[in-house]
Amino acid sequence: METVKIAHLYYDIMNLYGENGNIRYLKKKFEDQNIKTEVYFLSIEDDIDFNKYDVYYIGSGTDNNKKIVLNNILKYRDNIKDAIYTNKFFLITGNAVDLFGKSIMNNNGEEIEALHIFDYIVTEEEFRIIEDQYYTCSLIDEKIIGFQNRLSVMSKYSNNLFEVVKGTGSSPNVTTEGILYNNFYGTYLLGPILVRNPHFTDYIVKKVCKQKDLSYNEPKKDDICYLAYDEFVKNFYENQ
Amino acid sequence: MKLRLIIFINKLITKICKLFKKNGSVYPGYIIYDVLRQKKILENIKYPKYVIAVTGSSGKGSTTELINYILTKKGYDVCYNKNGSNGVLAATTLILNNCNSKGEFLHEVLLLECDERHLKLIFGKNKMTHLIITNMTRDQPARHGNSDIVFADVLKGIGNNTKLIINADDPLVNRLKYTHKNEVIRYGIGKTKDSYIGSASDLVDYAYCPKCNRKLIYDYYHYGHIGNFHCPICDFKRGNVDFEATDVNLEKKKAKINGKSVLLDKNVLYAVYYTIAAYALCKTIGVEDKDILDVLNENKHESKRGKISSFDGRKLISLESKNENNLSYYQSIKYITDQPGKKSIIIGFNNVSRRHPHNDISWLWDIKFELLNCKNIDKIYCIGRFRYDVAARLSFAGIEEDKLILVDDLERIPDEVREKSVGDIYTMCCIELTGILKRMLEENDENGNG
Repeated sequence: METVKIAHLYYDIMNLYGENGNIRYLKKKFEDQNIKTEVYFLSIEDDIDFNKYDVYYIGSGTDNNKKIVLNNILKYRDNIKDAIYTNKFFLITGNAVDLFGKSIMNNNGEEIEALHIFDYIVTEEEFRIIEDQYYTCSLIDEKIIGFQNRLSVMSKYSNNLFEVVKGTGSSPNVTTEGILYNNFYGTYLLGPILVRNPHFTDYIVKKVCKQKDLSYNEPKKDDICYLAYDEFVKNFYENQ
Repeated sequence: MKLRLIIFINKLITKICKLFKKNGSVYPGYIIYDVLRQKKILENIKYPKYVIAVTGSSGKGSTTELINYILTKKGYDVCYNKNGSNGVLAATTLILNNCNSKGEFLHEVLLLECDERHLKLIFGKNKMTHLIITNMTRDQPARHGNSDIVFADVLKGIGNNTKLIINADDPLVNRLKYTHKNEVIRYGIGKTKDSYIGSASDLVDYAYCPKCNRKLIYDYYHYGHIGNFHCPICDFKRGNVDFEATDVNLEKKKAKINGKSVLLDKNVLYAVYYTIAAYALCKTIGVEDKDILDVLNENKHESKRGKISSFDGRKLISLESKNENNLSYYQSIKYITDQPGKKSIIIGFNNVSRRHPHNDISWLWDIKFELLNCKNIDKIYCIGRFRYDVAARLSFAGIEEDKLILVDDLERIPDEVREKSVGDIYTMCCIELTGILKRMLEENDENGNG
């Protein structure tokens, strides 16, 4: 039986906002397709192999923990680059997105080198952006719901994942948000965004299946996460 | 503006509030602090010998209550914020109302439960003689950001004149042992029968050593990141503490503190924490062991959490669980599952917070709802505006589908619970829904208790 291998990276330090939900839902979604999954929890003290897994996930951490992780992840720069260029799946949420830019300007005015997979520069501001978000995504018909709680602001970047309907983009006054490149999906939305956006998760699962040449059946869309999504959109956007 | 005048205004507004039957714990402080912009006014007060503050993510209210109870019983003249308003505005009201016109505080002890972010605003450095820090866990992320931000804010309120009494089982708080320039008294709970070793996927707020960033090794956890830890590389550790609770027996509501038996007022682990924190504080300011034990072992202190009534001849217990605080929910869930017999649960909320308008529900996924996946749970009713989100989380806790009931129409709850569930009824709801449920269940109680 074919297996999808999921690596939850820095699970014990980038875990501020119920990130575990994303892994659980992803696992369920593959299992609904009769596909076996293996989840690997890897962190600072492990050797991470960026060839071995199909899906890599990193969630949000405190600003301090993000820096600890940055110090650790830099040694994998070339491996990560290769993995992204060869279409491995990366799901990166919250301030973990900062790791993949060119550098991070902290609020002491120091510029800290980041992975430089992408060209954006992140500035850590004195203010925080704390807000519900409502986006469109060109990959699916349904809108995206989520939440941000960050002090990071990203410089202009062109390959975006979402368009802002209500909320804030990668930086204030910008109407786009997130990073889309090959199978790299990055967003400042935090927490269990896959659970909250089951249609988006279906897109990811379908794409993983296609890439691994696994059979995929359209889901019935009757699990409670779809209902929760509909209810939230109805309560907070459609009826507003 | 002169101190004398400010105090007069504060007292006058308080009287007017009372005249109009308003609570008046915050409004006078608001006028002084925000409208008249007297933000430094509390620095001009002549404080008493004991200025004791209690802060932390949870447990500060219960700790403050118990300290007040012990000290008052032993004849101390204590002034404390008994209504639980713990921000700078309420502190301003309370302190100014308890001063004479010269700004001299009129009681022997000022005891304040303080909001973590407001501590620095209430007391300029070196005003507190003692500060208790109960814990620092993830709490209200939309308001606080994260616990590092909260901790940094607490630090801004601590001067070198303050003696600290800290929960050493919390590694984030335990950092102060290595940095504070005055006495640090540490308390903790030894291994209990419920202590556990975590697994890789378990959520831990604070997994790495704050001194050298290596992963901490835990001998055991009590809950969350609270437990007994040490760094494998440097000297950072929980180690031996000044006040340790051992022989914890929650069924019999008993424990030992430094070998001496004490009664607990509640059969939950956090009761051990507030008891040992209160014990440590009282001992530190010079109350004799025997006197503290006498008061604790009278066991007449009423803990305010968990209101009990009945519905349909079944016990109805309303538990307060703080939204946006996974460990608060954990404690409620643990309490429910530790009770004998079958039970049904009503859970839900209409708003994430009363303080802000945001709808972040990520914290639901940090709650260990898996504990509810046991045979003694008969039904779980999900109510309120976020019932589908709550149900989604519960469905991932392994709870069987037929136990999980979504209730769209709240009016149906009495019949649903009466006809389709068994056992004691526990509610874990926001204050608004707790009130509605209580009223509805009482009005529909066919056994006539309503």
